[in-house]
Amino acid sequence: MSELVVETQDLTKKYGNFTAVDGIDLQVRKGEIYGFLGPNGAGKSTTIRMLLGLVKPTRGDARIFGLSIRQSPMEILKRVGAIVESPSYYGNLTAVENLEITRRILGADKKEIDRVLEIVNLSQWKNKKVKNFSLGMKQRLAIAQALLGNRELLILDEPTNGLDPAGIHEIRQLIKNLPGMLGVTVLMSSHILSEVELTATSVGIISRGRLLFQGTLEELRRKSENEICIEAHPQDKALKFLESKGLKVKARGNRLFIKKNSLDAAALNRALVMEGFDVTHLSTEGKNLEDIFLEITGGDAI
Amino acid sequence: MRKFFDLLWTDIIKQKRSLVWPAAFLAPLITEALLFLDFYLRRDYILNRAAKEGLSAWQTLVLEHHLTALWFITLPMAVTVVCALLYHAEHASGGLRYTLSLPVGKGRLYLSKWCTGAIFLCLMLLLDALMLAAVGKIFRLPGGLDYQLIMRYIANQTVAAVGIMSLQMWLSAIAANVILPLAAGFIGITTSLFLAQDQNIARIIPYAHVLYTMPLPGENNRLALEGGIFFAAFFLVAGLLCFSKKDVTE
Ligand SMILES: Nc1ncnc2c1ncn2[C@@H]1O[C@H](COP(=O)(O)OP(=O)(O)OP(=O)(O)O)[C@@H](O)[C@H]1O
Ligand SMILES: [Mg+2]
Repeated sequence: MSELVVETQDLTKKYGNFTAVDGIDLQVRKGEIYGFLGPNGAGKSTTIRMLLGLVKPTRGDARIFGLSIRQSPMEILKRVGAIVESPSYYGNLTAVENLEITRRILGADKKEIDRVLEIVNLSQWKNKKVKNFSLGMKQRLAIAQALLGNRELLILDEPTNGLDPAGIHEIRQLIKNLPGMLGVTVLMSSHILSEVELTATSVGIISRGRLLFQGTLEELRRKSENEICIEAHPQDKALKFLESKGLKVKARGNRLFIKKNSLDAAALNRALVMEGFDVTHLSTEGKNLEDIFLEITGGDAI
Repeated sequence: MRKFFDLLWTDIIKQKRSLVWPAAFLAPLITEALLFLDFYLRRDYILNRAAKEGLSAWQTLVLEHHLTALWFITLPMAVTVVCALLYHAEHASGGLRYTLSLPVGKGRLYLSKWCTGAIFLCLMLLLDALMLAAVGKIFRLPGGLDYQLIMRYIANQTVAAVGIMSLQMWLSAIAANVILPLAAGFIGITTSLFLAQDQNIARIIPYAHVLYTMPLPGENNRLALEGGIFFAAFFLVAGLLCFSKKDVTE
């Protein structure tokens, strides 16, 4: 097993009686892009705030680079670039002045500012007050800020938020290339499944503060076992018949659904016909990731 | 230590183009304008009256500056506004998130902000003292510039005002809304005007201490100095503890 860059144990945050993050155990490996996926209000940003020491966990601990965030936050933050929620900035300062703050604190090289501005395509606006930036430009500045210096881990909370389609594509491409460059590890949150699908190698799915799935994208896809969908009449008798064969059948509308596993659709059809049922429809259906996601999160909107 | 100065430096460049500058410089400017008007209209009357009470011309200048030109109210007000503005920049558009995601630490950020406030306070008092001396020169006060008097005046004010600053820094740091520390400061200052007459009450109200900073005979400067030091230290520690525990959720 490769080295864990981020590891949380029972990480929990309560606001009063409300549990925003409920005992999650994240595991992010070195060099991977970890997609932290969940619907609005799931607790992604709260988790990220805890990882960065902005918010104190109510319970549990997080280790980054093997160091405890409670005990050595400064050593950790030196090596972590981050975006938390909506872009943060000092509006009265220009892009360069904002980045200069980061550069000073990190003690990074002067050249870094131009390098990161170039990466996010903000060079031509670098001397404009950030207050007057568009949302997408602010988001780009936030990404530039996170990239400045030699960060080993990037924690990006909805990095493509507010970007135009070209910008989204560009930033996704950038994120995808990051692990190749200097072996950076990326933890990015998103509420858009397709985004995670396109960029991430591992996924954690969080909903209502609980981590419901964690693994590679492959493992998630494997959950999409096919189903056999049958329309047979009379339906209630067909259902009983199939159940008497020891199958788990779900009726939805006028169709019956059976987990495929190693079941043979043709044999199933033959058995039903032999028993005298009218089979008017039989198909095998694969679930897409969207369906799996909805299933895992209990149908919360994405 | 070098790192702390880097942080302090970032806290000062964060104030580029911010309202802190006009807030810090307008206060002494207005006060000195009032003082100028005061002396322009009734220089001889003021000096004659003061001479009867045994005050020198320069002591009279300080007295007029402090009371007639309302500096004893303007200074605490300006400190309140400066503190609120320093933190407003942090609360307004996620500044705290920006800085605290870097290896800074809440405690060190708080200290750095406190020092930034102190720097602005010193700048403000310095500017005020320079203009005060200028007004004295312009009106050709007899007996040469009284350096010692002005130095002691600055020192007393600095100590007393740091007490207020320390309190306002705390309030400004923990309140996400800028209205709160401003309201607390203004209410504190205005009510203390009534209560400050009684020295025993004034002792426990930081806003009242500036009233006791004139280095003139019969003035209880000790009250201002002791109070200023005590409250500066007390609220610095309280604020530091409070801010370090605070969750950054905005
Ligand atoms: N300061 C706070 N006080 C009380 N509740 C809070 C606070 N901050 C967040 N919450 C609650 O915690 C839950 C998780 O919020 P969080 O911002 O982590 O969600 P998220 O997954 O980032 O959502 P989104 O996709 O909308 O950004 C929400 O229900 C939110 O209302
Ligand atoms: Mg969020």
